[in-house]
Amino acid sequence: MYRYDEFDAAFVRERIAEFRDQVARRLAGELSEDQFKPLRLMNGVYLQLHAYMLRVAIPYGTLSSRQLRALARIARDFDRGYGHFTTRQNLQFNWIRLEDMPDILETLAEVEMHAIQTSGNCIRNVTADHFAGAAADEIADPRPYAEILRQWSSLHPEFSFLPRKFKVAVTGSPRDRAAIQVHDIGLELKRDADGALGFAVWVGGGQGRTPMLARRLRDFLPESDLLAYCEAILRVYNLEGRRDNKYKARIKILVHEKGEAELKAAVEAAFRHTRATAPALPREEIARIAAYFAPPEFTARPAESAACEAARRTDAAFARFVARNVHAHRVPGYAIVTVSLKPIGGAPGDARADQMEALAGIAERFSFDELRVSHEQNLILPHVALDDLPAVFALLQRAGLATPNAGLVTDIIACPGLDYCSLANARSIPVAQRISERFADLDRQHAIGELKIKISGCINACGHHHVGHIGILGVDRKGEEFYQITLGGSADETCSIGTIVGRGFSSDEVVDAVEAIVETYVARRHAPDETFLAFHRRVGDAPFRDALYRKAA
Amino acid sequence: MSRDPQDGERVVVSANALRSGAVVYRRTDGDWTSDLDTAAAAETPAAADALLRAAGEDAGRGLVVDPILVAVDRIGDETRPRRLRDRIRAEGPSAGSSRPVTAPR
Repeated sequence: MYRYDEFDAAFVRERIAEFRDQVARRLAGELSEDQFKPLRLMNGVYLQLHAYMLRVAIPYGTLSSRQLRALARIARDFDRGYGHFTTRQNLQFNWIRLEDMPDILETLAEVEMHAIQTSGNCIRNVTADHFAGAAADEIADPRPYAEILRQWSSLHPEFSFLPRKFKVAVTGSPRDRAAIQVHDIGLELKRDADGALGFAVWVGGGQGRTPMLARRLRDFLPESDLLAYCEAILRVYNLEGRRDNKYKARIKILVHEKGEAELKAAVEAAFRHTRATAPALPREEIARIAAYFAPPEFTARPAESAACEAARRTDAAFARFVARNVHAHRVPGYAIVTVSLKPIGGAPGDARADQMEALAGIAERFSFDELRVSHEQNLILPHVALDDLPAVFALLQRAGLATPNAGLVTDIIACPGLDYCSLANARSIPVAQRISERFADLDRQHAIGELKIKISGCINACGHHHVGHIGILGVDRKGEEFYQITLGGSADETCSIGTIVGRGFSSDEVVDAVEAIVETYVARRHAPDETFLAFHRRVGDAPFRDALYRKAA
Repeated sequence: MSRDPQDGERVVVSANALRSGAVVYRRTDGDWTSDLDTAAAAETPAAADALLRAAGEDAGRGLVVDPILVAVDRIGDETRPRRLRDRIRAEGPSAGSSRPVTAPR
């Protein structure tokens, strides 16, 4: 993974010193809240319902065990013993004191982490496929490019005061695990006819109150033009994006109002200039950065592991875990493991300090010291030998991290919602917990198959409800929590925005409604291997509407 | 849940403590407390304005951040916010990993 050079280390140290001074002046009353707020936001510090919240950047979701231990230490020493992994591969601490913030940033800096540009109208954390560098279906590892984009976008002098936040995601596989079509810029690594690497470039995707799918501006952009083309997109957005209305300030609105063809023409015109002015990206430079992401020294292993197969035959729980949480690796004899942070009845995406420490130890011993954060709020061990899977499973069980539900109905994405967030209108965590408990039976979960439920506590859609197979949006209806259900969303390469199924449901009704939807699907699918998404795409909303509203009537 | 208190509603003023971010309420003596039951209450628009103004001055002095009026009901010796959001701020999260840690009261 990328290691700070002297410049990076000095920059972060100076930034902490600057923020320490700003905090001191704020606490001494020398800065008002209006003066201080933009400064704290630039360092990832929010003020939420109960306390300050710190959003720590985890570039493209990649962590070392040393970094995860530091996060555990912060959770234990400065917070309430846990952290929350987000839909942008970052980590949030919910109970931070402002006066402790500089010391927390020092702790992060010691392990080459920070909270810069996790808030504000700037380019945010560049996210990537959480299986990067390991997936069997990968064209190339997207992380070197994500790192290049991170360096380019950090304190970019032209793009530090954009009309609104800006989010970039990169996938290295045609199978999109990074949700690129609902990002401001989405990049898909591919090869041209000669085998040269480049990108399909998508622009103008996003969720929130006006969800939109990105438009593909370029079918193939050579990798050497990556920064120049991104700079052209940002320049056009910075100049023409709306600044009169916060709710119409994202680039997706610019694409919509200007038109795809017009926007593309503007970007191409800007590109003719930025090609000469943006940082050059020759192959040697890409290779230099890529060297930080060199694959581990895998040992030659047979494609099948006798130990693993024996364990699958004799241990039903292990077999279940392998069926859902273990994924094909590009190197024979290895696998990718999803560590679910969705225990039955738990708060999605939360991990206790002791769990972080346990996982750090497992990663150090069994995954070449590497972990990933997925945008689906789970953690990943990217490089586990099949021979080691039984031992890893046993250790995960001991830490309460072995829930075998990756991609199933209880693998729910949920934002913090009204329990924590000052923007929220309704709670999301209790709804997730109750749905999880309703579908707790593992046999039932496996019988249902892949089903992604995503819950947001407000229209800002941090829970990604628009791209849930079942999406749930919490709203305030005359002082009561109410939940609107959407169906048929998807964040993968067949990206789609869910459609509102009908009248919303009260807090008391919503879990029954979800169950009615699931039962309708199970009863009417062609076969068990017809997924919920495929079923919905075949039959539409009508059968679900009948079940929900005829049942209510 | 985000609606401002209506005229004539009994209100207290709440904010976040500057240093800790904790939810606090202004008392009659001008101090800030996490104990909602001891918060100063206003029952007329003029009194509510005065309460909010005093809280604003405290914010200017760097004691608290973002003071707001919170509609409440008084039941015996207890004060209970009317709106769910304010109840969550008073009692702590209803769900999540920080339960069952006792929230400040």
